[in-house]
Amino acid sequence: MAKIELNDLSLTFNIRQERKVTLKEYLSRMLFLPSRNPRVAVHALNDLNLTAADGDRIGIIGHNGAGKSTLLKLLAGVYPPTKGTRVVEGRICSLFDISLGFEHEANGWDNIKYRAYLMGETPDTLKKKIQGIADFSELGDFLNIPVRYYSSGMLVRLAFSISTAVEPEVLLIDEVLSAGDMSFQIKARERMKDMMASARLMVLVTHEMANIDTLCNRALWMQHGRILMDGKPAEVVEAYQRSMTAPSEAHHVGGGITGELAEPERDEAEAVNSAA
Amino acid sequence: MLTHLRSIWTFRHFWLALVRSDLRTRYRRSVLGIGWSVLNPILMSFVIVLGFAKVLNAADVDDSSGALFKYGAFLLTGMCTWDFMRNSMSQGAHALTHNESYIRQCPLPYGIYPLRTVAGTGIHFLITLTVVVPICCVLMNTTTPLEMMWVLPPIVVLLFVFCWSMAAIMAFANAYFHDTHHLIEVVMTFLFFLTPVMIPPDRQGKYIQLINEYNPFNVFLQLIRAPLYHGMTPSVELWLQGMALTAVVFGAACLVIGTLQRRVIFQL
Repeated sequence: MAKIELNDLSLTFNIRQERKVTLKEYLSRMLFLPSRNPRVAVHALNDLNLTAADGDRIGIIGHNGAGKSTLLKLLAGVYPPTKGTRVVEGRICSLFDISLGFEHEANGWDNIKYRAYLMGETPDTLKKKIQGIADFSELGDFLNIPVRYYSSGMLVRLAFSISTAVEPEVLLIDEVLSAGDMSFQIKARERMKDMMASARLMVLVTHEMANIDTLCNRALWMQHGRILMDGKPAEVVEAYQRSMTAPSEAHHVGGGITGELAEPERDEAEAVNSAA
Repeated sequence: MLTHLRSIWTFRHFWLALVRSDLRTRYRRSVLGIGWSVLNPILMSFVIVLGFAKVLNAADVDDSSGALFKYGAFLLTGMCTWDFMRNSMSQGAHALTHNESYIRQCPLPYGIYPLRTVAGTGIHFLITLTVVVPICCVLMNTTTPLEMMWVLPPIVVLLFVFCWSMAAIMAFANAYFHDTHHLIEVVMTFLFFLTPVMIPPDRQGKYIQLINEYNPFNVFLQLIRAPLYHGMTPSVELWLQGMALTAVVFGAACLVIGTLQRRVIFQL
């Protein structure tokens, strides 16, 4: 029984402009000197409420930076919520950035094993499935060479084959399917339809509206970390597309950041130059 | 903590497969393969004995009763143990950053990542130890090290848990302060000269001997050397020191993982 339940959920990232925090930076902060690398708060998700159960196939659309991938990562358990509660039940399988989770020096067969074990398979259960995974990916002899020589489409084929063969209860897919060629996309859609027939829960982020119509029974339109609309795919997609014609806040990517951004050092250099 | 350990056991196929992959990758194109990890401390010890024993005043070089060979055994046991501890800490510091792709995709118990590193260094240590034991027999002209090998397994387990815990702490520290791994290199180099790895404790200065009574790495050096160099089982006091030290460091690692595991993702 798969289930997703998010209640009043918010997620805020406190990040620094320059990523690396050295001990010098940390000590200067302790000495109350003005920090040259201050934190900014990015409100990635704001007051989300979402409930989904077995059989739901949710498509998420929205502008770049709306929080779609962050929502998926939160559902996968990668990020903990800053406020509110997250309940996700069932075996989760996630397909995010396609280079994630591959051992680049190992060949295709070994990577099938690593990824399958990562999702909780054992050598015994995998033995029965491994040929099926290899056949579905259609990579043939390429499985014998290191994965770092694969194209992104080949990686998608491999990752998707493994992820769907381990029979997850919750499948989270983040815009990766577009890398596959047309024949693979058809196969992938078929397999996802099979999975839906066995009442699994799927959440898919995509920019291709056709995918949402064929694969999903529910759509979410996200904007600036909030769910703007939640309903039937056709209606949500239509509303989203209508908003494209009118210039509005819907597509403005920026926003949702608070906190002081440090002035770049060029100001200091200018002051020195003008004094000279 | 027990659930954490149980889930690490659940995912054992995953991290064991990765450890095997790491070993294969490391020696992929080399002729000697894993032999290098064995040769390294042996060659280093050979060079130090021949070149530096007199300079360091580590042994009575002119004494013909085999003191130099005995010093070689002392050095070898120290070097292979020190290598394991140092490599676990310095490579362990990168455990979270090198495994970022798994952390961002699929949340696993965080203990797995330093375990992957320390299992790799541990295997090198075990292989080196199997070669060091017969070499010590030859150098000291006695079969006592071989006879005393039965004492080693619990010592190795204790040392493994210690190194795993230290690696976990270093990994989290490095995630928060990215220059931690530089600091570890410097501190371990400094400690290498302070700890009785090269110089026998009775030949060290009085103050250094005092410091080494509180040096955690010295406890494990003594534990390994007791059967292999001194030819006797470690004293009860030494056992208790080792177990207490491991328990404290393990507890600290559990605390670090428990408090920081939900937030460390934001630092990576």
